Amino acid sequence: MKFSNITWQQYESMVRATAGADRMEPPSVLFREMSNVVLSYLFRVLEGKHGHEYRKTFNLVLTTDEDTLQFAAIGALQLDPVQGALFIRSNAYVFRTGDRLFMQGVSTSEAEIAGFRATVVNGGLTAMLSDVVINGVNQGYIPTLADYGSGAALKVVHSHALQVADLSGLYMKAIVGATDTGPGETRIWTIIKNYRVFRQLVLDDAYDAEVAAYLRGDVLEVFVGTDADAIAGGVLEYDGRPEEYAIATQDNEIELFQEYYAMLYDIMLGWTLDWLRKPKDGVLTQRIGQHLEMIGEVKAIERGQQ
Amino acid sequence: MYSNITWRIFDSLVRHYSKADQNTPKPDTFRQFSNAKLLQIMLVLDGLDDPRYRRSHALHNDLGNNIYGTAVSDVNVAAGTITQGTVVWTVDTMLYGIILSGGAYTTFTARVLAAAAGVYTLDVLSGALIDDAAITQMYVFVGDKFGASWDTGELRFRRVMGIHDFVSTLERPFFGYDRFEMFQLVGKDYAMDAEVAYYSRAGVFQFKTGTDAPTVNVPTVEFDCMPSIYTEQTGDNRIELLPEHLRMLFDGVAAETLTLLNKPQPEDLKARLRDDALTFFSARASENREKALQETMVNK
Repeated sequence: MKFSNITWQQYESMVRATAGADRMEPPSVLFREMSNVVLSYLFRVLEGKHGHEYRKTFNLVLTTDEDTLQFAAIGALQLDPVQGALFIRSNAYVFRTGDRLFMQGVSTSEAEIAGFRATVVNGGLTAMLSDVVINGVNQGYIPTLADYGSGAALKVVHSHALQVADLSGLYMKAIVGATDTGPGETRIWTIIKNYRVFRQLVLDDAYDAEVAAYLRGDVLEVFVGTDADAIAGGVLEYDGRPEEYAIATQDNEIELFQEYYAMLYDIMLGWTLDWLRKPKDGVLTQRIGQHLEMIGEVKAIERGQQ
Repeated sequence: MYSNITWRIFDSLVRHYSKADQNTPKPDTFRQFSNAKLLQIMLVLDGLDDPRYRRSHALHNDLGNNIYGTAVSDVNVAAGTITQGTVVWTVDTMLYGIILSGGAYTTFTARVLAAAAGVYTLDVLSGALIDDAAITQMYVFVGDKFGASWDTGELRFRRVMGIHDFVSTLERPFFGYDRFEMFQLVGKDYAMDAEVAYYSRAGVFQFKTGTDAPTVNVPTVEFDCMPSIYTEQTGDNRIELLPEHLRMLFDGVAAETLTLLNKPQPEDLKARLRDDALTFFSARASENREKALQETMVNK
């Protein structure tokens, strides 16, 4: 067993029981997110001691660098500057800064194809837009989301790269390497960190039979040389960050080493007692103090190494 | 992936920790505290080389054109051609299209490879065309030809990493110039006759295309972006900070909130703030040393 055997759900129950807290206070979502803040903090300070334990693999799925969102995935759309800031909102899709959006569909009120294009200047579930151009039969009309029928689609163009893999679901710290089995045996990809070098690979004969990759945001761009075998079964190996506590991961074990688990437990117990406005007993205060002291020492060593 | 924590949850956590209600500090003041701290942490700790903040953006106009079923005389899926006489598409322009076929539709992204007598041969990059017999309507956004300068509008750049385009299917990086004088003299340099150069001035890119250089086609700028900040609209967005730095943001904003409320800071918070200050100092010292080393190497 690499990490603690304790799941997030068990850990939460233990903290709540010790603190005399019910399921309502502190609210579950805030308990989860504060746990994540502390988990990530501990990881940052204590990582490096067992770095390889956080190495993970991911099967790459290569596509073009764009997505298509169906009408149902769009929660709100504001294209009229008179109404305030221009934005589009999705409940699940994260827009990226720099994306080009093309909405295409049949306007129900205009009974014609109507569309717009825009640039995302501030990404997120809610994307702030600029550079909006509206097109359709009635050029002066500003469409609203209600104007589009369920057949409408939003195209999100990230770039014109043809072979990319979306890594946005990974808690990744750094790429270790990537391989595939296209030639019938394991082929190691060259990871390029420099933008200019990656863009010039097409001019380099030495790369005609090679595969290379470059990381941009959460997108892995892949270069395949003209004489290289097609990619098959691409796998990325990476240094991960610990998985966060979410409803979907509540039955997963906490990705923290057993010897650090007490730190997470004590700090969150202290936080829960604070939330409930209850006093911390002397032993807990002492333990938290010791943890902070140890974290301080590790950080001092880290700074010294810098 | 950034942290899973949204700005609104962060707001609740800090306010509860500081025993503050929703009105003090005022929401706008709280957002400004948070944004100032966010940018400080990113500036000092993330450096300029974290690929997480890299983004790309296509530099071209997208002009709309409507083409209706009756105006499209042929769509040949096998040959990848569209025949239409309504508008002129020049070679190398980008098309973002939708084709309606009864109640269904298909979308595509394509580049115009050749144009002859109303027959346009396309390189379909994604999606698919649909046979002409089934078309009810077709509608495209057309990427206009590239200009000599480009305004990047409201995009918040931290650093431009480079600009490239495609010549046929080959990527071609442009030459970036930092110095105004050098850029203005590009036209006198024969070595640049087959190249494209750019110069960035306050969000506007200026371009010079060499006399022998292939036509510029849909350039893409790659840049380091600023993290999304906390506004009324972005409350449900994730905080664009690496998860392990969230504690610093939390402590920094909590300290400001407590100060505003005239409340004392708990001892453990003070200790962490002192520690964070040292980390900032150390990171900046390290960064400065690296910069100095680089400058020394360049000067040699």
